Amino acid sequence: MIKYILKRVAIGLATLFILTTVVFVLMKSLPGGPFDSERVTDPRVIEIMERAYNLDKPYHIQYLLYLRDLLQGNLGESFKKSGITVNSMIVRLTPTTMKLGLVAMVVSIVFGLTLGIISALTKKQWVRSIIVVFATIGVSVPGFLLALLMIYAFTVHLHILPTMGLTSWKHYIMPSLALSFSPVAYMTRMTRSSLSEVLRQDYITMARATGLSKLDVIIRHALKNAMLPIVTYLGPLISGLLTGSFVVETMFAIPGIGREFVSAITGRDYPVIMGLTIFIGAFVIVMNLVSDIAAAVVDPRIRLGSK
Amino acid sequence: MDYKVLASPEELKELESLSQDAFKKIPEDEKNSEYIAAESLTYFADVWRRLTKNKLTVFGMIILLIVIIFAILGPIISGYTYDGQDLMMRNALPSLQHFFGTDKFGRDIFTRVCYGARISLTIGFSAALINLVIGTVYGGISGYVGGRVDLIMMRLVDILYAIPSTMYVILIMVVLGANMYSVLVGICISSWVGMARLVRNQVLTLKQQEFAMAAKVLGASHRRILFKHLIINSMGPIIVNFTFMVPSAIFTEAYLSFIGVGISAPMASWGTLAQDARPLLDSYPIQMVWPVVAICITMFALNFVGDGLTEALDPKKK
Repeated sequence: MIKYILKRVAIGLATLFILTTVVFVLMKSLPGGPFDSERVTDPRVIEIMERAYNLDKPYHIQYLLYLRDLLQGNLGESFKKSGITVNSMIVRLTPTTMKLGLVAMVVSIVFGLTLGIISALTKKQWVRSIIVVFATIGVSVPGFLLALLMIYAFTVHLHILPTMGLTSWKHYIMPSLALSFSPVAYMTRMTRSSLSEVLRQDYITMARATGLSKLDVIIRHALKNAMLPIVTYLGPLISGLLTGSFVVETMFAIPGIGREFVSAITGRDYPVIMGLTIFIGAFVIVMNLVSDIAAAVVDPRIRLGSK
Repeated sequence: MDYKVLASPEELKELESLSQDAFKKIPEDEKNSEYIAAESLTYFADVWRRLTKNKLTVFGMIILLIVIIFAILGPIISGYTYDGQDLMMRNALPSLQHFFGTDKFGRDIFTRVCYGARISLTIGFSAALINLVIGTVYGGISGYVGGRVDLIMMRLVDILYAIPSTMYVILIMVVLGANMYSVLVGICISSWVGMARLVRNQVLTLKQQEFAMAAKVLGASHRRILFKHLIINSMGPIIVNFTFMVPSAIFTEAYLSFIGVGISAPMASWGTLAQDARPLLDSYPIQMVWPVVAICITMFALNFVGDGLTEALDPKKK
């Protein structure tokens, strides 16, 4: 078990290292320096500026300095908004993104599990059909299009839901639905196939034969085993919600990491793009790690299978 | 050993008493009427038969065909170009002149949606095709060679897999600029890893089977065993993965264009069109309908085909 965790952590660290290197190389390969501007600047000023930011040093020294900064937790400073560091942005914006992400995650898990369990257990064909149709829509229709449709229906037409910001519970409804729409569909599909697979196993028949009630068998035996693939899905779910938040936060004008990232991209604010990429990347890596370890804890086959 | 009596003397007598015309020759085509066996089909003919039995899949294929036809012929039918502006006809409603109306610059939306189809389908299918090639070769080699090579190659895959592919695509877009090729490069850099993992696992199990051993004993080269035996035998899952890669690439492109880093003006993909229509949502909602409908029906069609293929290619469901 410890060996498995160590291996996962090592892969995580290697990933982070490669990500930071890629980010650095890409940043350096961009045409144009940060101090190029339309106004003609005195070459001496540029020289002083470059020295201040260590840009006069050769690339490998710059790379080491950059790694040192990262290790000290310093993600850089915005070009466009002077004096604002990426760290301060993260501190200011993360809580909002986290709140929305958590709501969307709870919605995804609760609805996904419920619908999946219902469609695996029900004997009514029409219930199953409705859930299948819903899951297909969820997999096919991108969340941002659903957001567009909802804005049109509930804000432009009916005027019942607000679209700007995240100040009351009403503000949460549309963004969290848009974010969790396709995760719910994936979760439903996965729960259904995993649970119906488990229900076909011999030990379920065995458990029924020992006289346990149907509900008991489903809760104590079937669901417990059907949960395994779903635990593994939590890592990808979190990274999906994060990348989904880029567009959802932009559409609903929610001041979070995602919106800041998109506006940095469209505004070509390179240090912010790079800093936030590393932050988001690190976050996703940690979440994947947690989800992998959780899966290994509940399923011994995983840690024994890949020694 | 005792012999079975075929007919008793009484029965023989009865048979002799029958006249000649109690018998008749059966026609040639009824000769095998008692023969019971499934029609002999090649693997792909069999898959095709099961695929076309699924109504939703056929429906998906028809929709896809219609989208492709519009992508090719649409601009010819409409007679407009994707960037031709007509400032006298801004935000026009759908009419015979402009089937889907015009946008805020007076550009024909029908033509733009058809060009969007070209972009989306090109990106979807070429990304899937490139991923298919890279993933199959990479995963095949990794699984076939095994040992330390496999370990190193798979660690690289793990590393690429750990970061959401959207992040890579965005980084590539920032560096290469917003156009169709950088979207393609971005999508391809990160999304072949799923295919590589799948092919590797298939090859790992298949290479231990007897037919691979037989090929080896017969003196087949490594390349021949890998590509003509192992990979051909894992074609089912590979095709399924391929069909789901197409909608996911289309989705990624639409998503990028929607947040403003994908295809840039005056070219327009469906994502760009949806993004353009967003500010006009309360005054001209009709402009949003077309790209949204186009994305949704294409995604539906591709998912239907993918689901159908999954079932048709799954030997367990035969």
